[in-house]
Amino acid sequence: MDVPADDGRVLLEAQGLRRAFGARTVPDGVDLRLHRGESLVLLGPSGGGKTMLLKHLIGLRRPGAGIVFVAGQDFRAAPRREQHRLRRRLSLAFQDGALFDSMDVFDNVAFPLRRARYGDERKVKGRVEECLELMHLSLPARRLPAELSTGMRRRVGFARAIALQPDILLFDEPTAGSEAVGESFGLQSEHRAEDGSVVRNFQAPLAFSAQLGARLLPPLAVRAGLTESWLGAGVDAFAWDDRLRLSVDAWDFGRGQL
Amino acid sequence: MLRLGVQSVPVVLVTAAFTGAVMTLQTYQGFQRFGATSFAGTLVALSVMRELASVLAALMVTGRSGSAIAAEIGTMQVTEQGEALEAMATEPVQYLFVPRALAGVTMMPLLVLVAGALAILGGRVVAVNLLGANPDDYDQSTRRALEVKDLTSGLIKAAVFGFLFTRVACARGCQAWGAPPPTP
Repeated sequence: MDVPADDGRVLLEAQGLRRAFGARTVPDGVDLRLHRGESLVLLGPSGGGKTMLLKHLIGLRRPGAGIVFVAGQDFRAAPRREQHRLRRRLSLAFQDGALFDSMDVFDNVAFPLRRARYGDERKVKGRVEECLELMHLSLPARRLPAELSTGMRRRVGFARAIALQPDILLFDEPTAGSEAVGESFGLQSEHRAEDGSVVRNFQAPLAFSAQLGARLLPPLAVRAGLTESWLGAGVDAFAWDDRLRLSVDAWDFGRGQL
Repeated sequence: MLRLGVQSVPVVLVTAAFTGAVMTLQTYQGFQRFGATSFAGTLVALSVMRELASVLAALMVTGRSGSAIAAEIGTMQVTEQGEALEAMATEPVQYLFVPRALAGVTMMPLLVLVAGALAILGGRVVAVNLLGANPDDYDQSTRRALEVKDLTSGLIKAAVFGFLFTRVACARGCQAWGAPPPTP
């Protein structure tokens, strides 16, 4: 494996990432390189291994082959303490929020802050409120996840993901089944349809990505033989906020270099 | 500790008290044939403190709290909460298992202590109030029989059971897989 040149701009790099599940291999030899300030959208059909790729990138899954570099360091080869330090530079917003059932909204968002010893409780409280506000969440922070709707849970998950202001932010299908998410990311205005719906935003990922300046599809789309009509058919889209450095939403089709 | 220990007190106490009572009921009548009723208290005290209290308490707490721990961690697994912990640089084992194991190891001996006392009391109530035993003789036979090592062996067993059942419950919870039910 080549060790990536650490020019300070490459935040995340995967080389030959591969993992077999029985007869199926996902991801299958994925190479990707993501630079500071760059955004990336991955699209793909359901069950294509998109979430699995994200989990490999953040180190939640051990690849059968291949290597992941975070800020130039081999994640798997790093000592445990160093892995924890690197993990704090990454953040993953899970598809369904993955909020802790036993904690209320406030404690969920405060969790990474407290674990990272962000500051005293006053500072933590301020940051939690800031994150909730950014997600347009005006709900009482002492509500439990079970009392929230799916979309609200997801937005609380986003708030938790951005709490520590990570260098690399990964979203797992943030828009699935919830157009309200788009509002929370302030994306709706330019693409708002005449009827006021924001759904179209997320059914036009190509236009979306162009607006965001995201590096994404053409190489993959061409390789996979995807048509524009398929891409416009409302598959997984992606989201952005002002702290976002990188957004990887969805992955597809086994092998490919981005 | 509250859920595992304090909230398990009623079920453990009821089980222990009735076990002591039934033991006395059965053994007292048998001992009567040999004129050895003064040993009834000894038998109950020794068997309860050395073995039965820890085993019964462990069974009750495992059934009640062990299954709850397994279900809780299993739910966390299938809803990606375990992975969320890891993604936030938190060791799931350290965060989920250690506090539960500590609660098991500290609360089980306390529960066994209380359970043993209640079992002996239950036996005494039956012997004295139902079977007409002399209360002083019964108390004396109980006190004479018990030694510190009986107590400590029961408590050590309880602590080991406390560790084992939390370990098993957490491990079983971590093995849960599958998709969560659809959310509304």
